Amino acid sequence: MGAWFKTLLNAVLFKTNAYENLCDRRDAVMHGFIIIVVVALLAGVPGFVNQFLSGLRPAATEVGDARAALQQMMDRFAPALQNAGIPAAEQALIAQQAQQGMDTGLQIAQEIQGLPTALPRPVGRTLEAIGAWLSKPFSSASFPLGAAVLATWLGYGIWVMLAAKLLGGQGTLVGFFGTTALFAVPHVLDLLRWVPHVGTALGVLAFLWGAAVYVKATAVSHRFSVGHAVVAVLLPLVVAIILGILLVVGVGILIAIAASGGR
Amino acid sequence: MGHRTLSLGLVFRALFLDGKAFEELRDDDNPFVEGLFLLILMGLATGVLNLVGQVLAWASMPRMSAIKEVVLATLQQQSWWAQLSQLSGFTDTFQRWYDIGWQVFPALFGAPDPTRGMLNIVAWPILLVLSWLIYGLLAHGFARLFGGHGTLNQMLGASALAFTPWLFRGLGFVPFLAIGAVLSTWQLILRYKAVRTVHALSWGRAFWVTLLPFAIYLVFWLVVAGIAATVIAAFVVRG
Repeated sequence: MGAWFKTLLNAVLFKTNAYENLCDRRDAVMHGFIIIVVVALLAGVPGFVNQFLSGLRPAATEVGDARAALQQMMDRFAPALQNAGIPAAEQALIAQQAQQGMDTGLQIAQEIQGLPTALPRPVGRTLEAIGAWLSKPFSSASFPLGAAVLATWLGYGIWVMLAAKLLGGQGTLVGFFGTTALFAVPHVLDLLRWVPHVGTALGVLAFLWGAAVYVKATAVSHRFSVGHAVVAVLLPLVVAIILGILLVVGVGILIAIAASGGR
Repeated sequence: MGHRTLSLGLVFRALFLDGKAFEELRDDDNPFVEGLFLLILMGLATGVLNLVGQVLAWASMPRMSAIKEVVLATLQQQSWWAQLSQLSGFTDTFQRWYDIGWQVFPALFGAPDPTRGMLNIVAWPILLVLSWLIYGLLAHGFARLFGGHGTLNQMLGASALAFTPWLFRGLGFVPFLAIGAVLSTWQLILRYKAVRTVHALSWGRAFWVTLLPFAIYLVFWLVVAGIAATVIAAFVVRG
């Protein structure tokens, strides 16, 4: 266990032999899987505790908290309407309709919370919190390498592997996926994402640090220079962005042709 | 009696991309039977474990029919409901679509359902075997076209190991656990590994052989959608 932690520490300090040792192991992917799962679960602990504790409170309190949070969101939304230059009368109408929608939603939530269940409510809510927490490693990331989850490790990884192979990389699937899983280690910082003021900064730091580890892992596993590795890591993202732009432009042109043809 | 290669250790090694595991099953005296056995067992075991989670989740939630009634009663208290219900046929039409919606959407969004859980015990092994056979046959055909030398028996044996990420569905005994699309990506990587191991193709050829069956699936579903659209259009025109 001590040797394992030492490897992880050396990896985040960009020591090449830590990557090489993992790359050469036949069970490198299993090690990678364990790293991702452990980090994802650790980063999910604050969310789990929060959900677990809120499940132990009376249903009415929980609905009351949701009402306060939604009201706060609506209060923040009001100045945005004002800044958008919407006339005062329409602003009031929008606010009234939003309020009505919120009240209806909360009324439904409150009545559903009051319905009987076969298992006592705290037991059910605890099971829900455990299920949500254990789902963390299997969830998706909003941005490539944005979170320590299996989807970004394998999902983005196959495209980086392809790009690296096209650039002449010599890596194997086992070595590549084993070492690139190390990108998850800095995401341990996500455990502190809830801390006011510094949480977001720590999240950004974890992402940048993790991305740098990913580049290093790509370079070592494919016997690349760092420059080549950066290209391999960024290429799938760049291609996806270009395809996205082409799709939007293409759809725009089709709509314009359809509109002009309809005249 | 044939030699049994399959073991829990081999399955886990295959899951984590160990090439030797694929080679061992490829070199078995009857890889097809080993693959079939693995898939049926995996489908049954994960189906049973998933049922446990479905029952626990179902017991943690109010009855779906009760939720449906609460939502409808709340909607009927709204001011707009009084106005709309004066329109002729509104209430009947709304009720019809509301009932259809409650039949479709809870299942679509994975609402816990022990009946569906029990059906999965039968459906999952069948689903696994069918998708294994269809993919295995297509991939083998493409591999031979690309110069592969493996046999169909070997291909089916090795490609059965590509379904091992399905084992994570066994974690479904934890209620409310959601496993995303990551299993499909994982399976895709293992399918590539199976193709490469059995047919000894270069990485580029193995890549195309792995993906081309999905192009066939896409064409098939486009044809089905086209036929369905034509039939619907014909009915509409006649009507």
